[in-house]
Amino acid sequence: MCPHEEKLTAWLLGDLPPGEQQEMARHIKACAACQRVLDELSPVLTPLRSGLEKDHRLQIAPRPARGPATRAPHRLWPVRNGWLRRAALFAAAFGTLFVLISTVYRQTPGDRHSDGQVTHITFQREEPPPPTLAPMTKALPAAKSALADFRPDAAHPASAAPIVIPPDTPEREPNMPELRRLVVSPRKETETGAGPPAVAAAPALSKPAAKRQRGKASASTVSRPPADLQTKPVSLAARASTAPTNAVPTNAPPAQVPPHPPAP
Amino acid sequence: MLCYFHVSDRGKEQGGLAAVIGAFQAPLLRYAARLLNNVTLAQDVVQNTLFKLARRVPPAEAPTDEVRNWLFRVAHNEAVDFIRSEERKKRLHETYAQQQDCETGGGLSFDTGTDEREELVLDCLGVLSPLQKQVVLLRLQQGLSYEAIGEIVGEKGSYVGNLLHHAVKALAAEVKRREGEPSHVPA
Repeated sequence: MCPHEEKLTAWLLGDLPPGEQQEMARHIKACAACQRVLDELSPVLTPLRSGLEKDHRLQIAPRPARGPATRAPHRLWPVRNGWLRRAALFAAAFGTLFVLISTVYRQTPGDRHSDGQVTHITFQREEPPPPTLAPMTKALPAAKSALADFRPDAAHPASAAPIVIPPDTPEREPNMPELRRLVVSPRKETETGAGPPAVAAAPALSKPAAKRQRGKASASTVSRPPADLQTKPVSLAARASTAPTNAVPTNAPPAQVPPHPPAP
Repeated sequence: MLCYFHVSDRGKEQGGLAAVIGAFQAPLLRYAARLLNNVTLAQDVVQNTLFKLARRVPPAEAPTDEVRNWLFRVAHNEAVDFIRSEERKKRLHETYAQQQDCETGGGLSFDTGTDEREELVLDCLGVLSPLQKQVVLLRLQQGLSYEAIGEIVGEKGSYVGNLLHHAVKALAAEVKRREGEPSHVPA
């Protein structure tokens, strides 16, 4: 029985085990069909084998240094230091793990470990307490006194009383006596009715002229004391001794002055 | 290429990577050159393969069989992707190889000292399917076992023998066909 043809090829190449190789040799010598197959294969297999074995003489120089012909590896940046890449990978992995663990522990309830073990510490910033109104104290009068000197007139000058501009005074001459300010009581003006406008200041008069002026005024107008005025009799003698007078001091006895008649 | 994987004392990782590259760069270039029938394209394919090796997780620390299988698998996929990304990506792998013969002026631009018979057979590799071509190259050029080839191509070891046998038969038929044509008959 003839073996498979593929064993003939293996026999030609010497790939069969030693026992099968010798057995195949004995079979081929006795089998004409196998010899015909060998006559067909051997003229091709022998030069093919010798030709391919001669390829070992080939000295093909490798491709000169340059980039790969196709499908170049894409890198964002050249990684030259292996330890740097490992460190970056380790840092990234550690960071990711830390974030995951912290996220998981944050989502778990706080009473997960109810035996009093400290599992995590939460830092919370203390907010300042809201402002509260202090009760009324004795400081209020002080505040009131602080407002005591408040003058709306000063705060609002427009609402204050009109400013009275004093009349122009004549220039003072060298031997001219000092001016005196005449103050007219507004009460007299009201009593006298619509009189002449109040004169803030009048030219200075001599003493006799002033007396005459006062005499005219008393003669023309009679002053009346107020109704609630209470009078008390006073001894003029005692008063005259102490009252200042413009009279020249003399040795003459004081004159008898009749008492002032009471007001009607 | 070595500029990117410069051997230095920075660490064990880069030292292991440099050792892997030093061990498998030349076989990968030969493999890709036969796979693509073009040295320039093979350089690009190996360059991309080594870039993927540098970004491999876990990193390659020594030129082990597992790393070797991984490299050849990635190189083959890179070659297939490269062919598909070309302008004539709808063509089959063997058609692309024949087209490269016309554009580059006769395939590989190096002389391995093969005789005319060997050259004829090697030119017929373009008729193989990518999987068959991969298996033939891994077995006859790289000298890998069936199990290692099976890990690279993603098939069982027994199926690798089957693929190899049918690839040789396809080459024999193509050689016979070309020997019947006057242009391919050596003088």
